[in-house]
Amino acid sequence: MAVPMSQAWAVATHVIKQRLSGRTRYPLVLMLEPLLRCNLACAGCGKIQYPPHVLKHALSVEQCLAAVEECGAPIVSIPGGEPLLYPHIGELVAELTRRKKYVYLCTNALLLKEKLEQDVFTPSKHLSFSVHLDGLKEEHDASVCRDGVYDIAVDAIREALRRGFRVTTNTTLFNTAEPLRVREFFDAMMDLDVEGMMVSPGFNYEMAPDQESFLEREETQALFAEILTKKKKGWRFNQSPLFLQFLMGKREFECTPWGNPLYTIFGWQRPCYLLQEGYAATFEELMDETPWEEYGRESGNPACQNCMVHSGYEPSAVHATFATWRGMRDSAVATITGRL
Amino acid sequence: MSGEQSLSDSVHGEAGSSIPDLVERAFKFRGDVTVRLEGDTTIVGYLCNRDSRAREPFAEILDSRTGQKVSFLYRSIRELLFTGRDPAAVSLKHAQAFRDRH
Repeated sequence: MAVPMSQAWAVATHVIKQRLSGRTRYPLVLMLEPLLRCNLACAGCGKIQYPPHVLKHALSVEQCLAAVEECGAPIVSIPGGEPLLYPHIGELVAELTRRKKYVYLCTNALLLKEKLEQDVFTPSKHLSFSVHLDGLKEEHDASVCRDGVYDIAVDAIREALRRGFRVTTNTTLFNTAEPLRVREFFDAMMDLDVEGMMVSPGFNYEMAPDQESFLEREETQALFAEILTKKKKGWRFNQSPLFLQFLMGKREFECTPWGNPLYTIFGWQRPCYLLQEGYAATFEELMDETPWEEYGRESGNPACQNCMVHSGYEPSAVHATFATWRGMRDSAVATITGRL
Repeated sequence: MSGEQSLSDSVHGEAGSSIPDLVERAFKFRGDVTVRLEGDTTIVGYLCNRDSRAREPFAEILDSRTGQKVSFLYRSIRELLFTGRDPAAVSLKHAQAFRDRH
């Protein structure tokens, strides 16, 4: 199992509590972006195209912690930008783990080894480095538009594992992905002995430099079916098996845009991690005043038609697991047998 | 000036836009804008939020000089100019340069 029992238990109890209290919309993972600055400029990323003064702007640790309290999700994912550029990242992570939040620090790992050597972080079951790797060396370096990044990331992963940290990988696939190479990449990550892998199709960000490589829905399903059919038993994914089945076209879900809400330097982003249609001043305002019926595939919103990204559909998969006995059984069977 | 009246938009040369349309375009633009408000206050920064459905439609700018978020009503806008460079174009150049090298 790729996720520790204590983390699975924290998520399960959170979901059960929400359901028992009659809440139909609740968050699972807070996406917390303390800054938008990055030390890479990836072809498929539309998150960092801002004027320099905006990229210099960062949330305070207090603002971050207030957002975490407001939201109440058991898991906090810290993407960005590159969170290791955030000057208070050590303090922020320490405060979050002290609050028993499960933290995924999403990093391109360019600065990871340096931060580890400076003892900025302490190993904890509550902290996992989620290292961005879009494939093997050739594919990853092309994806991040810089040579040598794959080697640096792999070196940092080894160092983090040697020091006793939890490490996962985070992979975004585009229409340039070759199924056999992706399978080889999964083998390589398992050989490195990372705890688990996360994989998702890319979102067609309007501002991303490369507008030609985003997958359409049917292409996503065909690609993931080819990659994950005959999934190797040794591959560990840090994701719901039902979500992976959804990517393969074996299940249908509707998006849960409020499942992974984003707090950023501009406020609570509406409606989701990917679409940037405005900001709410408080989490309550985000949940209560966002016109949710205007989003998701069934709404007919063109921006949502090809999206199958984990930030919207992983919460749907978790909901499906707990909503019915069948969902729980299917999830348990896939987890135990390793078959999708 | 009411929300229905047009504003100058000299940089992009599309005079005649209504305030809500112009603010919407500014929100989608990733560069800085310059806004002149009633009372002759001028703010330069990134227009990071707006709410045209609010009872009193408003917009927010991250002031490039102070780093503070400044909120103002649509009806107080006298002029809105797209004065900053578009960072999306810079990002595109970077990706193209990498591709050209390979």
